Amino acid sequence: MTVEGRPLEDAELIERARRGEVMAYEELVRRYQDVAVRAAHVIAPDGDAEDAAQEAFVKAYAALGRFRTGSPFRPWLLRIVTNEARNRRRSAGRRTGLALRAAEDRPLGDAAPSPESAVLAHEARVTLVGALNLLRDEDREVIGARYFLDLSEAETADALGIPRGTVKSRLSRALGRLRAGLVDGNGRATDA
Amino acid sequence: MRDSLELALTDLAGAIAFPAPSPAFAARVRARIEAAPAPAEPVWGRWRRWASAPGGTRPFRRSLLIAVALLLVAATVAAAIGLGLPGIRILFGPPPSTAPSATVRPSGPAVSLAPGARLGLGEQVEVAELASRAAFRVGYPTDPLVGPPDSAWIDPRKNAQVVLVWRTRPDLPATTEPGVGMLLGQFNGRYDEGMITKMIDSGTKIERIRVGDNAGLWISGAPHFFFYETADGRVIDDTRRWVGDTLLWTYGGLTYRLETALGLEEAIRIAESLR
Repeated sequence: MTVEGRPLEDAELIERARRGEVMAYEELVRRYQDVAVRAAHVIAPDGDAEDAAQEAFVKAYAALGRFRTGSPFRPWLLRIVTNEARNRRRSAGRRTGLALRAAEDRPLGDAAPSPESAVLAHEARVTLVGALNLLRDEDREVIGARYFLDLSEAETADALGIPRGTVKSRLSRALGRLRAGLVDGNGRATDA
Repeated sequence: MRDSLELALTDLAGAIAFPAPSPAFAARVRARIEAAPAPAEPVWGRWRRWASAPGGTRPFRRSLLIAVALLLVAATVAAAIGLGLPGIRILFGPPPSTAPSATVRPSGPAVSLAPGARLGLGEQVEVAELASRAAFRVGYPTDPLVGPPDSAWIDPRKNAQVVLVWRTRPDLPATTEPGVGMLLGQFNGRYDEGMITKMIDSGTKIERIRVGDNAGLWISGAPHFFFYETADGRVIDDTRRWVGDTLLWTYGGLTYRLETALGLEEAIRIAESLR
């Protein structure tokens, strides 16, 4: 959606969506659907991330009247995604956690490593993701927000619904527990 | 400065099997919004003001709002099915909206409108202009029952799909849209084996039929709406209200959609007369 070829700002799309232009909201959905699905998967890896993200977008649309004009849309949306995914996680039984992609699915741009280093790197990732999956949900969420979704500390706070001042300390504690898990050899393999 | 664990986590981000949104993600969100019972606050406020505004059409406005509300309350379950027609994805459920076309004022005098003007079919064009305006060769039924269309529409928002509309006549019984006897939509669609094939019980019936040598579907019963995928991979959601039982078929790379109250046999006869 453009005006004289210029992509509309989020704020303009939000205002149009508030006036009932669903097409404008659809454009916002396209902009943030990748990060929303990713976030839903980080919060609830065993759930249907696509469905959770779609539901979150629908709820966000209904809540647009409460969106504070001028504030960034992405963390506000991710807060709704987080809540939706957390609710689904509570009702889900089995927990397998995050999984690695198959090795051949690595992006084409990656330099081809030697077979030995590729195996070692893969094993290291398997160990790391295994240890990550053994963490408490709260720890995995904050690590996922910072390193997998690449959110800033402020965005992480908004998305996870925690005070901004505690993001750093919570992340530090979560990394500490992850380190301890790796040292103890608790990282069990979780491979796709 | 990030330590080795943080660097490893950053590296891990590229190795985790994150799901990607499906091509129809945004279109589905839009469809869910249009079928949802709770519109955004300002929209509702605007509708409420519109319904209660003084004027001779207030009873009509209120009736329309009540009808919309009933439909939205009924919109608790929608089911999806992908079928073997090129680029077709049909979602069953209540119509997403009965709101009139953006091109027409809701309180406007219905008698002066071209048939189909309230359905949000896009831009009205002269039938004679279609040959130069449409992105493909438009087909017309040669069945003598039908005759030339009474209005024609092109929707630039929906991959320039074309819709021909016929007025109600004694031999073209009314659809659910007053004054509209038949609709014939035509659009480019692309077959995609990856389209979801999922069906949930609904009041919609589907029969696989043939239109000449081509596969088709006869969809009757509960209202339905659908998505289709264009040749360049864009997903178009055509979530307008359907006005009758529908015959869908493909021919020569195009998909056709005939909506009529005539019944299956007549619909196939009209479809096979397309030239």
